Amino acid sequence: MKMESPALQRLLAAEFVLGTLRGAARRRFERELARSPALRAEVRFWETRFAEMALRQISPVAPRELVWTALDLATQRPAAALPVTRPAGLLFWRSWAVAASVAALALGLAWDAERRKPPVQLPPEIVRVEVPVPQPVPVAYVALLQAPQSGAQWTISVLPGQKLMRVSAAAQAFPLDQQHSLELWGIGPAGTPVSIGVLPLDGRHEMALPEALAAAIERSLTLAVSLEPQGGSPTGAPTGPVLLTAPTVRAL
Amino acid sequence: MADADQLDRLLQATAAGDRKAFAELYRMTSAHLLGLLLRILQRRDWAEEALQDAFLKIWQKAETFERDKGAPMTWLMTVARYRALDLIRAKRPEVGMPEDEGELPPLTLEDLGQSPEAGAVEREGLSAMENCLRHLPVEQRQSLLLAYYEGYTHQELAARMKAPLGTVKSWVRRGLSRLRECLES
Repeated sequence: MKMESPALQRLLAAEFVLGTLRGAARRRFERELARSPALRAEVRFWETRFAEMALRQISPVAPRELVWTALDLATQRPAAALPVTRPAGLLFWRSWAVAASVAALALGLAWDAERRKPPVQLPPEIVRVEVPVPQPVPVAYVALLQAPQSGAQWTISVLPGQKLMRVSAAAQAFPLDQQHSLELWGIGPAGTPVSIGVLPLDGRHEMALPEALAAAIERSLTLAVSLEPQGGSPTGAPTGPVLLTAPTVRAL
Repeated sequence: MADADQLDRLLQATAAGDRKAFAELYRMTSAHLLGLLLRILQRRDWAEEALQDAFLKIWQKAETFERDKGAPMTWLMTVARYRALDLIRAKRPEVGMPEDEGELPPLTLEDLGQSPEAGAVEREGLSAMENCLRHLPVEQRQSLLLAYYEGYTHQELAARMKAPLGTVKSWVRRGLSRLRECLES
């Protein structure tokens, strides 16, 4: 590891707080920071000065109730189950609901099996507790696209009312070269693929849901992924092989 | 805004898993955090997402707050701002400029520049930080404020300020060095 002068270290601390220290340099600095109390003090110096300035200059804005509802739900789960950090994403409770739905789909008949179980006889002294139900949410559909060999996976929620799709990609392992892109298509009852856009390999993203697909989803909508030249199909229809497909399923 | 002792107490209780204290902490501070997040992220949905992430982190990491090393409110603001920086890196393409669909008007350079006359009137109420910022050359001050409030990279600063990358980098560095000297004096 190369040694940097104290003056440079101080400057890096300031740029770290400001946010202009990025990428590999930022990660390297973070490792330094873990080792150096002096650097931590320097970082805290700037964090404090800037935060105090922001408190004086920025007007408060009340968040919508939804945010607290989500937090309240998320913090009811055992702390160990919470992700310590998670990539940029959806409001937590919604992605949690989607994950829960996907898990239920994966388990197939789990719900049916539950229903067939004989009812549990509660002893009379046990008091039933009403569990608060989260506020009603807009109609949503989910789909799970999985590439079995690479383990790449996309969890997609579709909000037809908002003409919106939310894509959570964990697909860095997908073997894709620089000359190609994955393109996401929606196929309604008519059977013609409609382009939704280039499918990202990581992070969480919002994609616009084409009107025709939003209208079709109630009857049926299948998602498909094709291999295309970089940037997507030049023709507006799939030109490469279809690699994955998945149905959309009503979730909420 | 709540006083530091009260927030400190709530943070300690939150660290012990007290959800009522956490709710109270959220009630008292979330609007301040959201104000900053909206300033940086410009979109309410992103800002609220960052707010939610920040409070999840606060719930999980409350025990790492050290009262003797800073005020609770600045710690909370700092957690929120780092979350916003992470989010903006994920959402904003490398050199891309922010979209113009934000709910807040973009911060103008005039806002950031703030004429010295206006400053003289309220100098009494200014923090050392703001005073020192005012004494920086205008490009340095603007670079620092744009980086802080917009989450700009050096490249984005160069595009916004129509200056070469090297020049912008030196504005940031000189600005920070001079600010440090001024704050210490």
